[in-house]
Formats: sequence, structure tokens, C-alpha cells
Amino acid sequence: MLKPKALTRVLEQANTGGIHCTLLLNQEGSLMAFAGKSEKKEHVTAAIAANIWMSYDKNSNATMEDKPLELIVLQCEDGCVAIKKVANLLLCIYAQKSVGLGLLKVKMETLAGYLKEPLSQIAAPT
Amino acid sequence: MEGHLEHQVTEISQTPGVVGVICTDPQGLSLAARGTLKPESSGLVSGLATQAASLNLGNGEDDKPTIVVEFDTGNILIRGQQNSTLGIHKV
Amino acid sequence: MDEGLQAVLKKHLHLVDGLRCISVSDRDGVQIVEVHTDHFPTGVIKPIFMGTFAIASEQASKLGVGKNTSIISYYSGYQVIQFNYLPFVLTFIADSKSNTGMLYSLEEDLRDPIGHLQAAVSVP
Repeated sequence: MLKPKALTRVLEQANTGGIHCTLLLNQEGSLMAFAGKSEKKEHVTAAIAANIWMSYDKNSNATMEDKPLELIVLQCEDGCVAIKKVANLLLCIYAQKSVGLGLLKVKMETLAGYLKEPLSQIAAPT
Repeated sequence: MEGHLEHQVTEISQTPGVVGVICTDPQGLSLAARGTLKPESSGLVSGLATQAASLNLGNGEDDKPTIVVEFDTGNILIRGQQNSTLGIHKV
Repeated sequence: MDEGLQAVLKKHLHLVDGLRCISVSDRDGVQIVEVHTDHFPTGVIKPIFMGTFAIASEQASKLGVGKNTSIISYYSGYQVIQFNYLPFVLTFIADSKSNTGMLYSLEEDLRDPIGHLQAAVSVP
């Protein structure tokens, strides 16, 4: 079984140097795990992130020669958000504007790589 | 997670004469930036390193060049590595 | 005006290795100007893909980190970078190994010509 506390601790490790929070959500946008400073808006942001991922993922079948979607980075005026699929869940990292995009990407890849195997075991393939 | 990198970059930026430091990933996205070298310069810094490396004189992939961009007010040194590019602005 | 912008885009297309297509479309994904190299994933310039951005960008603006300025989507083999010039959308399609940072610098050069386009359609 998955230990929620251990999972949160893993997500927490990314929350340094300008990373606000790290979320794990399912593809319907429900929050599965959260690490960071809670602003009580996580559920909304999880739903938005999942929705954006789904829109772009649909495109890969329709228009991108079936190339799978690997990563999305949303850049906004005051920060940026990276979204990536891990097993059949979505990993989502919120960063301050000061965080370099490269660092955000490396953190995402590292965390996703680390979580891939354990999450594959609990998530039934769809 | 990135403590070691941040520490190294800060250390370089505190060296006398250094006014800016940037470290980028292979796709020209900033990993860490200090002083005059802003994250927005990351694309050009890594692009220069890639272009210069394509002048390869047959010494193999491991022989990466160091590029010096000279200005009247100072120099920017750039060197590409396997997974990153480092740029240092010296006056 | 369109021809002018097309010439500008064409000039920029060869400035970054692996850049395959530069497109300006409206918020529904309808092409206005587009330049491309010989091989690129043609499906991307269909309105179905381009139109995704306007909706996604509006949603992203509600994430609590300010107005959305750009979205990068990395697919295996390609990267698509879309910039918010709503009612227009600027899109770069490049190889996944292309220098994303350089593509961002390229966008800075295109701000003026696309800004003119925005100004031309804005209601005073």
C-alpha cells in the first residue's frame, strides 16, 4: 500500500528555492496529495491543471501524429506551473516567477522519475 | 534539491570581478542566474555554446570550446558541458 | 499588412535550429499568417489544436499566478510554444531538442509586428 505521509514527504522535497507547492491529482482533477503552503485553492487549481492537460493530450491523438504529450509548462505573469503525467496520475508543480524554467523542468523530471514505479503499482492502467 | 547548484553559482558570483553568472539546461532554459546575466539571456548563452561547438575541429564530442564574448565594459565567458552551459560575466 | 508580417516570420524561421513552423492565428485557431519548413506536423496548424490555446490560456489565468503569457507543450519529438497575444495567438513548432530559450528570445523580436496587428483590430 501507498503511505500518504511518505508520498507527501517526497513531494515536499521539490518545494525549495521558490517552488510554492507540489500536487498529485488524478486525470479527473481530484487532488490526491499535496505538499506546500496551503491556500485553500488547491482543489480549484488541480481541476484547472487537469483540464488543460486533457485538452492538450487530446490534441496529440488528433493532430500531433500520435506523439504522446510529455510535459506542459504554463507561464503566467507572477509564476509558472508545470504538469506531467506519472503512471495515470498528474504531477503538478507551482513555481514563483523567479524560478528558472530549466530548474522547474529538471525538478519535474526528477520527481516524476522517482514516483513512476511506485505510482504505477497502485494505479490501475486505463 | 538544487542546493548544491545554487551554492556553486553563488560562490562564483561572489568571486572578485564577476558581476553575473548563469547556468542553463541543454535547451537554453535557466537553471540558476545571478547579477547581470538574467534568466532571459539563457537561450542566447546556450545557443552560442552550441554554435561554437559545431566548429568542432575533429577532436571528438568531449572537447568543448570556451567562448569569450568581449565588450568594452567586460567579457562574458561561456562554456558548454554535457548537460548544462555556464556563462560568467566579468568586468 | 499580411505580406509584411509573413516576410518577417519567414526571416525568423531560420534563426533557430529545428524551428519548423511559425504561425499567427485568431482565438478560434483560424490561421492568419503561417510560414513553415518542408517537414512539420501539419495537424498542429488545424484550428482544433490552435483553438485549444485560447481556452487553456484563459483557464491558466485563473490559477492565481497572474495572467497567462505562454504555454509550452512538449510532445515526444516536438515542442509547441504558444504565446498569448489574444485575440491573436503566436505559435512556434520546433523539434523537441530545439533551444527553447532561443525561441523565447525570438518571440521578443516578434512583439512589435504582432503588437501592430493587435492594435489594428483593437476597439478604441
